[in-house]
Amino acid sequence: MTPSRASPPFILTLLVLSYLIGDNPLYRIAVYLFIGAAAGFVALTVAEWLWNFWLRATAFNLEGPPAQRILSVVPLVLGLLLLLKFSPSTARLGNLAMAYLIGVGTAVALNGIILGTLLPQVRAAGSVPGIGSDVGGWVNGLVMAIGAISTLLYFMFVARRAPSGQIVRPLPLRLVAAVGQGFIVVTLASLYAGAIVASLSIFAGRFATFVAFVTDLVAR
Amino acid sequence: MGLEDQPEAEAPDWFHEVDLSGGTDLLGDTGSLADKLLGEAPAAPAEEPVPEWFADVEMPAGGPAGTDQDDSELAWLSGLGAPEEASEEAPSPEGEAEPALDWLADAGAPDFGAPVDEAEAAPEAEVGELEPDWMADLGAPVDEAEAAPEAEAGELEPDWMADFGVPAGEAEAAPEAEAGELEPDWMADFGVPAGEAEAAPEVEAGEAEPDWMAALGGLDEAEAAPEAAAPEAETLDWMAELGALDEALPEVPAALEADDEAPALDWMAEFGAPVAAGEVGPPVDEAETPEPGWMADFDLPAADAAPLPEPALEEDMPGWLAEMRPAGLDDVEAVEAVEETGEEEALAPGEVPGWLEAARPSEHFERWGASAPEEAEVPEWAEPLSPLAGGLAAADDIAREESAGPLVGLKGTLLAEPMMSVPGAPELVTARVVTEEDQRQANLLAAITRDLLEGLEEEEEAGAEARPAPARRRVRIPFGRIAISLLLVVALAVPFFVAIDLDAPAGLAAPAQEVVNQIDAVPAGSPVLLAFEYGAAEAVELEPAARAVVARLADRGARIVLLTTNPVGALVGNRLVADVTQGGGEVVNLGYLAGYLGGLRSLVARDENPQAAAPLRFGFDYRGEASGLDVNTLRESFRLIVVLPGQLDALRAWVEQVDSVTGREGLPGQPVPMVAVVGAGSEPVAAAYYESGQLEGYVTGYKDAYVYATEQNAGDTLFVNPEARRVAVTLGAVAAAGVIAVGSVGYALRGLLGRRRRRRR
Repeated sequence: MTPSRASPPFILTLLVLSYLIGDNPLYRIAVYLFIGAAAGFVALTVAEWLWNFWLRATAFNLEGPPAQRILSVVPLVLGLLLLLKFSPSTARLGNLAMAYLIGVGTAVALNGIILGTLLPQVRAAGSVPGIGSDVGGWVNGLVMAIGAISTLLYFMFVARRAPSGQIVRPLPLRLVAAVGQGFIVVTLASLYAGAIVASLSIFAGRFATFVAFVTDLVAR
Repeated sequence: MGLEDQPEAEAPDWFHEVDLSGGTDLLGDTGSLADKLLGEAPAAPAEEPVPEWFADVEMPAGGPAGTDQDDSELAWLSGLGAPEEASEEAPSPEGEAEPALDWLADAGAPDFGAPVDEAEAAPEAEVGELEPDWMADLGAPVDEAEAAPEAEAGELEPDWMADFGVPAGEAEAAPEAEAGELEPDWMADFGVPAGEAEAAPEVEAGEAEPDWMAALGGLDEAEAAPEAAAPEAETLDWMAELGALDEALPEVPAALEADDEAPALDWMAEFGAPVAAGEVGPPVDEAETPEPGWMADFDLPAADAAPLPEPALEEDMPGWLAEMRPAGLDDVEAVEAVEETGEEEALAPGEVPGWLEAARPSEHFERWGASAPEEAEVPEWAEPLSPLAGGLAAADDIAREESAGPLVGLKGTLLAEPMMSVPGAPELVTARVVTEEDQRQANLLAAITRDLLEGLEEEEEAGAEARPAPARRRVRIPFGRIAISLLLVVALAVPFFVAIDLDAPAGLAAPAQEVVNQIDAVPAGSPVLLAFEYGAAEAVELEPAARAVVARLADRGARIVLLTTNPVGALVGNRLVADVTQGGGEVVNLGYLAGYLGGLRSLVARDENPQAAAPLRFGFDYRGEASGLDVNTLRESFRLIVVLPGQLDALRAWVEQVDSVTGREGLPGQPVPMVAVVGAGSEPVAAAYYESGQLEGYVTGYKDAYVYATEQNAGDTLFVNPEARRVAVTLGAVAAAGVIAVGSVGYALRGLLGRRRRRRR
């Protein structure tokens, strides 16, 4: 990497690291630049996609079937209705497009969650290690079963009102929920640790680039 | 046992001596009473034979001449003593009954059934144990007084008592008092309201028997005895006897029947305290006469004392009754003479009870136990609030002194509604009418508001002047944050300058090895879908692994197809692939896929349903040019799907929407394996999908990338300074863990110390 190409990332990295002393204009410059560039790139990408992959392929594809061209008008109209939500007086007209988006999005998401995550995970959690599996497999299956059951029971908020007026959960449920809470803590801790390691990896990569830039600059 | 059951010989002798031929007033009175009783109690058959003892009585042919029941004709009965021999001859089964009808000589109760009832009550009584003093004064037999506690008044009380006009509520108003329980309701009619019955609650019946009841003496005991001892049926029987007698008698005038209740009370009142106490009492008149002494003993409110009707004159006393009048009633006559002449002032005034004296309204504040407040100075701010300031009230109104009510003695009190409210339908308001008073009030409110606002403004200005200038903002240097950052920076930077030998991982982890295996299983020229779902922020972490995967795919001769739902991902992927392949290999960048979940689902629509339209997205690359891909379905066209998510959501979206179809068994085509290149933050989720079999494998960040690059001897070509970077990440992780551990211990110690400090407090 030549110094001319490495200079902008190096300078921007320093600007971002200036946040160590607090919020300052240098840090804001880097952040604004990043957000602005990303937003501009997204807008350009979407606009390019809309023209290249939608209008040219459907509405303006004179060689395509007429039905496809007619149907391509429907999402176009819905998109125009969404634009009407800019004005409060015409915002209600955009509700039709919003209803379509929310309805379809919810249906797709629910279908994916049930078929793609919930059922497979339940099936995996319920699979008992076979007789031929080793002790580790049995322990792993046992831990998975206990963790799944106790974690689910932790979110079962069934309680009764004590004579003192307090709402307390039954003792067995409290014990199981405490185990589930422990599993939740371990899970969140692992996620947090993974985020830290990811940040460290990013920083190490940036620092490696910085060292390489400086070394190359000095060598020259 | 009723009178009708008694043989003639058992009839009281004194009754035989009574000559009833003079008239029927007394009988008529009794008969009316019996009529009422019979109206509630089981009616005695009219055909019942008249007892023999009653047959001796000569009944007059006509009714009484007078229609009003004369109290005077009963008043003399206060001196009509029942013959003692009558009680002495009364049967006494157990022989304990005292021949104690002496009191009748004082009270003179014309009680026909008393001797019999007393005789029946006697067995139940224990003589002399509970004899109250007042009874001793009256000479009343003790057994009757004792019979009362043993009896349940509510159960045994005959209905005829109700004829004395005693409200049931008054009798029930003293539930805790045994005296109240045992005391018949009719007693309450003699001037004891419910509140007074409560005033003497927990006293035994015999002890609590008030003096005024002693005044009622003979009648009370004569009638209480049958209540106490005699069964109800028997009590009613002898009353029915009277009822039968009444029916046998000439018809009672209607007017007399209508007024039958009052005479009954009157003659009882006549039996009242003065006679029993051996005094001649004045006519009972609360409004004009002082409270008698016997009532003062009960602390009765004057207003509660039931006014007893004034005894009627003796003029209407029939002759036959006059003949029955015994001698020795001069005192009564003297009293009546006083009443008739209106010489009430000659009577000695009674003493007002102490409690009544305390309730007397005083002129000023002494009644509240405090002296009259001195006139205070009105502060200036309150002066505008004065009614005088706004002209709302005249000085005379302010100086007016309250003369009645609880505010008596106070000046300047607000008057009641100055205008009487006239009931009726409200008139329709057609215009706003502002009276002078309204205008004065509005002016006053405006003046007060103006003054208050001006005062607030002045205070605010004064406060602003006195307030010190705000201190310069102190810049707090986050020493803790800087220290932790410096520690991490040092841990991460040192490996780049100092060679630190740390053992590298022995080999690829199982999930990463599965990724290698899946890549190696891809036939040359087969399309492999790479989903670059990360942006510039995650690129530093994921790029080493992405580079390794792309490089291996390029080495295997796979046809790389780039697709992303992240607009930035298209740019990042295009740059990375171009950098790794150096322009070689077959790469198709489809670019951005709109719709996120919906867009991903549209990719596999035809995989689920062959009738669905083929995915249009594969026809053009990111520049809009023909891609040259002939993709009917994913299961038929691709051999591997590699997802490179920067966030958890992207990985989940691809697994849920795409892999749930492409990896499912039973659909047309062959299942397409899916692997992932994830960061350290997404590794737990990727591990879950790997354990469930939804992901065939995954590569985690720099760790697996370094191992892979080392095994392939391609570390230096893929990354910059890979060994130092690996050690830096390792040391940084150790430093971060140390900071977290130290922070946790410090936080725990601070919590323990704080708790101990709170306990000491």
